[in-house]
Amino acid sequence: MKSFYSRAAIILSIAAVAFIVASCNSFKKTPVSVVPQPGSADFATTVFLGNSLTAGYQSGALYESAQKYSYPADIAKEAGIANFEQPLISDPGIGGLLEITNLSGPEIAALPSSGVPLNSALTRPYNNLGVPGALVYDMIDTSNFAAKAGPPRDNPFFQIVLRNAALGNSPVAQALALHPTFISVWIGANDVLGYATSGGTIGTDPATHSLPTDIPTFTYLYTTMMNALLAGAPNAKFVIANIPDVDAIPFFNTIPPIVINPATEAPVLVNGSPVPLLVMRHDASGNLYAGQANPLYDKILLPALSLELKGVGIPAALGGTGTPLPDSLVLDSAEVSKVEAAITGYNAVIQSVATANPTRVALVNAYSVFNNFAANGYTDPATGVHLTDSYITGGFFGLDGIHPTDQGYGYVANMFIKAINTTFGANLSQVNLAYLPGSIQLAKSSSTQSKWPVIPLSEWGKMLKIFQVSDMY
Amino acid sequence: MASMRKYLASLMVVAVWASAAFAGGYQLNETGAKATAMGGAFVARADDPSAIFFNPAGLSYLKGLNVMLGGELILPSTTFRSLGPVSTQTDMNSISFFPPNAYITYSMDNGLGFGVGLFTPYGLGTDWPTNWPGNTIVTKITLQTFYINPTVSYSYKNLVSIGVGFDYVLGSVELAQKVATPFTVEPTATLKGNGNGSSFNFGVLITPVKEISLGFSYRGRANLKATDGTLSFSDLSALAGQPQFANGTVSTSVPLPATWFLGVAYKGDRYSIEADYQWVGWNAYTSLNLNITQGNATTEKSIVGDYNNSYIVRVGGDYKISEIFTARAGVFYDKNPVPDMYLEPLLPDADRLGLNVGVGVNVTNNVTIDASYMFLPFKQRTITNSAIGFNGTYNTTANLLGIDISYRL
Repeated sequence: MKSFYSRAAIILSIAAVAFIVASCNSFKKTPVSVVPQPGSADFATTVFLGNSLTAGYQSGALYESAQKYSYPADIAKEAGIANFEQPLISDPGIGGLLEITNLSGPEIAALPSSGVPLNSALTRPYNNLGVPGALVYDMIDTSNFAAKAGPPRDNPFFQIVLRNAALGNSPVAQALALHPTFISVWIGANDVLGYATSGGTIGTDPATHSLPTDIPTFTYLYTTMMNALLAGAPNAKFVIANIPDVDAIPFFNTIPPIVINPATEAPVLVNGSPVPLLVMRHDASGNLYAGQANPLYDKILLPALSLELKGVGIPAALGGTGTPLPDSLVLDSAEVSKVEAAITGYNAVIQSVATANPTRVALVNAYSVFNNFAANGYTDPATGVHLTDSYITGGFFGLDGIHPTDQGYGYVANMFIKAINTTFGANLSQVNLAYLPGSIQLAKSSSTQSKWPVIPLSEWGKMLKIFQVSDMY
Repeated sequence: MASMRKYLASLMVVAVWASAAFAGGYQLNETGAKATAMGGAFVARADDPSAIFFNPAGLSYLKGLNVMLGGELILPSTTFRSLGPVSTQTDMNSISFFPPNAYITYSMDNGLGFGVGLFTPYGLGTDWPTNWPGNTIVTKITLQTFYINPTVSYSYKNLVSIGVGFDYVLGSVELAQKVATPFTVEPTATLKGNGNGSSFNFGVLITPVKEISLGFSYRGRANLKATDGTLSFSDLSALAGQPQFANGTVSTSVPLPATWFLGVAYKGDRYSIEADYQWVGWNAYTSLNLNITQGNATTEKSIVGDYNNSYIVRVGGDYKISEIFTARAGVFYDKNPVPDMYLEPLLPDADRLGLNVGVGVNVTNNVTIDASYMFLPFKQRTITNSAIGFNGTYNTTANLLGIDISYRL
């Protein structure tokens, strides 16, 4: 009897041990990583061409903390690109990094441009060749890029990014010198933003220097650039992006063209109707006059805020100065039409390059993605993190009202990744926006009170200088 | 322009508490060094004072007055590696826990036994670097419980014994995480609460013949109710004074699931061996509801966990080397209750294998020291469908050292 129980207990125990052993057949610690499948693309040597958006410019400056989250850096991470190099600039960067000094306002001020290049000894061109302020013209301009640091362009970034003409005397030349297998191009926004952000007072067209780059010129420059790249890297695949609508950017859509009561943030009504701001605008024959803003079509630029707070643009009857907002801070309906015509024309050119090279070129429709974002915002399905196009509070755009935050650039990266995956049958993962750090600078201590954002015009002026490119030819 | 306050308020709701689950298999069955050394396969023997935890029916078979004191030193180590071609690895900060246990029992010759136990059957802790990628989910969490368990048992003719007990549960929980803001400032939110609850337990021990025993024990579910918890913020920098970061109060209820053991043991002259099955009613954890009050603002959050019931299979035995020394060994397999999509770094749970050895030393006729060592590797777990979008690979191992000193009179 005893030996029966003994055997039974041992058999049961052996069975249990066998179950345990069978259950834990996979206690090995093996590295798990998602290997990105590039599809028909090859990311071995990838180079990004573009302007400030590609460089990772944020809140008025190009600085290391933001450059690490540029959309090229995000894409490089998801694509597993090794040896991805950017022209990093130590914090607080160059350009005058904007920070909130008073959250209750919020009030905004710029930090000094005290950043220094960190990676300038690299003996080959950078993988991120985005140059803040660059026009499509600059991509193929082989004249002395170092001279662009001096007047009238006063743009230090060509020298910082391109460094040495021996590496190539233009962004396109440096890109091709890398013998790239994959090329990203997002260029052309400044050809219209220079005009738009100056309220239609400064332009980039060669004939008048007071209009957006004209479409024949843009077409010539863009196709020349793309043909040079397509021929110079005959086996490379491309992703190119078109130009977003100015309507989708806080710089143009934050300040309503009507008088707002700062206490209630609601429009002031006189006889039940909102009161248009007083502005300098153009009449049908193009003559400048002081008058009422067109409440439906005129755009008041973000820097107008500080003047508006001093009563400029507000009728004397409502307690304002009765003087109009200057032409440079108003994009009137005629100017808006010119901006939109330019963007439409540029985007047709960009589209035609993609259409002509369907197996080599993926197209990012930034115009429609940004408009869709402006209309609906973005809610992360997993975490509920919500981004909108609202200035500051939206979390997508930084303090300059034009360039995205780290999260905003993550969203831009995802827009590129989707296009790459679709066109080339790749499977790059999306950037998870919820786990990107917040990047809007908040000064260590903040003082109090003042209902409206107060942004010194001089600070905006610094930022706008990037777009003052009237002498490019 | 939307008000900054409104924005921050909505951000608080969305980001701070989106993932504040207490998570996973936060059960601890290591409430006695002797039982632990045998893989926790003890319900059919229950022949030391930790019977109050494993099977209260065992009290009847202890002799006279018994006092047992000890604890279990737990040393976990976890790494997290994000998914992706360029993955970053985070090592959890090194931490240790020492849940204590204490028992006092008195058994009479007429088959009646009494006792009170104090032990920690549920608890957890994780501590991540404050700048790690998941810092908005958790930087630190601790859950502690203490069960005070008065017990009575009665044995009929040494054939069948039954025991019942009442559980008074005390507990505390602390959770710290970073608050996601659009700013470069990352405040820390800390939630602290103390709570209590109650439950009951019972057990049966059948000894049909001298060598064989069958055991079953059950412990009901308790809810650790914390009504006066606090919410506080630190690292606020320039965000200090914003009403969204005002101190607040929190109430919640943490489920401590029901569990039962079923086992059979064989006792020979010099050795014994036992095989057990333990069931754990983790489906008690469907969601955790947090009620947060800051000033006049009340936020209610429901965090889904949807755990599955789970089980543990245990085998263990001992061998009496001499009148003084007894050697013990055991293994178990512990199935984790957490569905992939709800696995979070709050508790990086996974199926586990427990490998145990131990020794008992009769120091004098009245004093025994039991010691145990457990190596606890977790299955590597890779999450690709996280409900909060936090995917990656978790690797965990733990070393556990147990010691108990018993005194018999």
